Amino acid sequence: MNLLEVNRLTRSFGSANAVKDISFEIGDRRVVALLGPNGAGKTTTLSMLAGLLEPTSGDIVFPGLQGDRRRWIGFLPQIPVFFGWMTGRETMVTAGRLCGLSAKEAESRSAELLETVGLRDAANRKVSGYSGGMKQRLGLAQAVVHRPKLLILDEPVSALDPVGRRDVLDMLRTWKKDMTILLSTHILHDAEEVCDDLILLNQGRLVAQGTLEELQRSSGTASILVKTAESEKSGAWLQSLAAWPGVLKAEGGGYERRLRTNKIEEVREMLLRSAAEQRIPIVQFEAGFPTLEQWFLEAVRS
Amino acid sequence: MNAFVVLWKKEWTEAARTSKLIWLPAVFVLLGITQPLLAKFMPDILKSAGNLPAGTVIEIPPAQPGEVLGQTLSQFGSLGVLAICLAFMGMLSGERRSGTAAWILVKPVSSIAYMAAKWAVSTMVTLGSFALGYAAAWYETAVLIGVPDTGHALAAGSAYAGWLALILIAVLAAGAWFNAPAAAAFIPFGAATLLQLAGSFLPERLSALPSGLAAEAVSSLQSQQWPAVSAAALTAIIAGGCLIALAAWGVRSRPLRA
Repeated sequence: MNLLEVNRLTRSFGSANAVKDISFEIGDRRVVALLGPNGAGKTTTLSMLAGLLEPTSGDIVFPGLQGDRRRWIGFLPQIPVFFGWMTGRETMVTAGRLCGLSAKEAESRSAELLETVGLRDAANRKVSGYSGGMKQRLGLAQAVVHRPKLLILDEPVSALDPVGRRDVLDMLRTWKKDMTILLSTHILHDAEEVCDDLILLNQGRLVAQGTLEELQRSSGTASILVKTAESEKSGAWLQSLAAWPGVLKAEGGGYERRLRTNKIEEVREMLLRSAAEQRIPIVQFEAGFPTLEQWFLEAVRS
Repeated sequence: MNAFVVLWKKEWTEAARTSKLIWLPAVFVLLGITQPLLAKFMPDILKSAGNLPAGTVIEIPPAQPGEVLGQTLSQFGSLGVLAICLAFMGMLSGERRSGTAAWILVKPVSSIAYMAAKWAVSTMVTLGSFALGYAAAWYETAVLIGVPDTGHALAAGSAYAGWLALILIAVLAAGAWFNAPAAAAFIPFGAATLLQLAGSFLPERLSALPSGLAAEAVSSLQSQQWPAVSAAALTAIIAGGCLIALAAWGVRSRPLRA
């Protein structure tokens, strides 16, 4: 059962289309990454889902959920802002109360979540004195105070130091048992680490979507990287690889080649055997599907 | 309803912590007590100011209590209104600009509840300040000049409170459309000043302007009559309704910066 269905969503600002005709579905309890370079339309898409921005056309449906969709959503903007005159605890309680929790429940949820995100000691300090990392944690905590079904995070880790990043990713991993998480990022490594599904946007259009595995397989060609020590013989050997059966494309020059193939098993075996027979001094050998980064660059450029 | 109560509490706490609850009443009380003092001691001030040839006779008729209260209301109309606009200019536009408006409206809160809480609290703070300042003026006048007629004073004060409430709606509506707090302050202030000016140039023909509420309050105190504000009250209510619709439209249609 899908938690969220988006149909032909479009948003234009003046004559420019920030998001054009994108459709996707998000299943219950999945962690989904919205990937794309800067200006791809990630923030615009998330703002529309969160209800901050009206779509120019298209619809957003939560099958099986009735009423105001904001009740089911928790949202963390790219740069979380709060009322500086409130304390962290007051911010949490106000957020909880606005989301419909009772006063007592809001208090207990606040205490629990402030503990989870490591702000217990700062809970009674004014938010204006918080550091950027602390605000990010507070933003995460207030986004889940009402136990949303969908947690929307706009670049939750980009601005954090490595320790903060690790903490946030761990938190997401805990929360994914209870809710669906949709996050935007341009840090591919993080997406690879916590996400089940990927949606790639470029220039306001949806370029590809699916699980990481599906996308790698559909991007099709596996690749083999061979690097040899410099010698005339190995140079000639590398030159000859492009013409081998099963090799679709050979990229690179000098003493390094990246071979694209749809028969990775056979090509790998042939390559290793041939190198051994001809005593080619291989210094690096790598075979597999393209990394998310290669796939990303390729999808964005094409 | 729940959201309104929570936001209402938030607005109160904010007004208290940003010390609006102290300085706005202080402005009105200060304005309220200076006018009777000036009225009482104006002849002495002129006399001691010097620069007058010997033998100059200045005859200023003793001020009437109602007249002094009326002058106080005129003071509220210029400096008081400016203080109100400055105090509340950021209540919507500031939150839109900083992104805190998005923080609230991304939660299941209607934009009506959001604005109603702001309007309710700003109106209560303003009318409370006004009542304090007006009461101070009444007391000061009673001590220095003579006891003003309480019934007339209350009637004029109520009419004037209506004018101030309308100005607050205008501040809110301007804030819904303009992100710069200066615009949110000076558009309503300018409009109020223009309306008051227009009303004072043609008092008979333009008494039905919303600013007629203020003008009638002042002149009724001076002439010791009951304020005749039915036409002005009607246009004020209509203008208020239009401004509320405009504000709601602005909040809904203008994209929020997250």
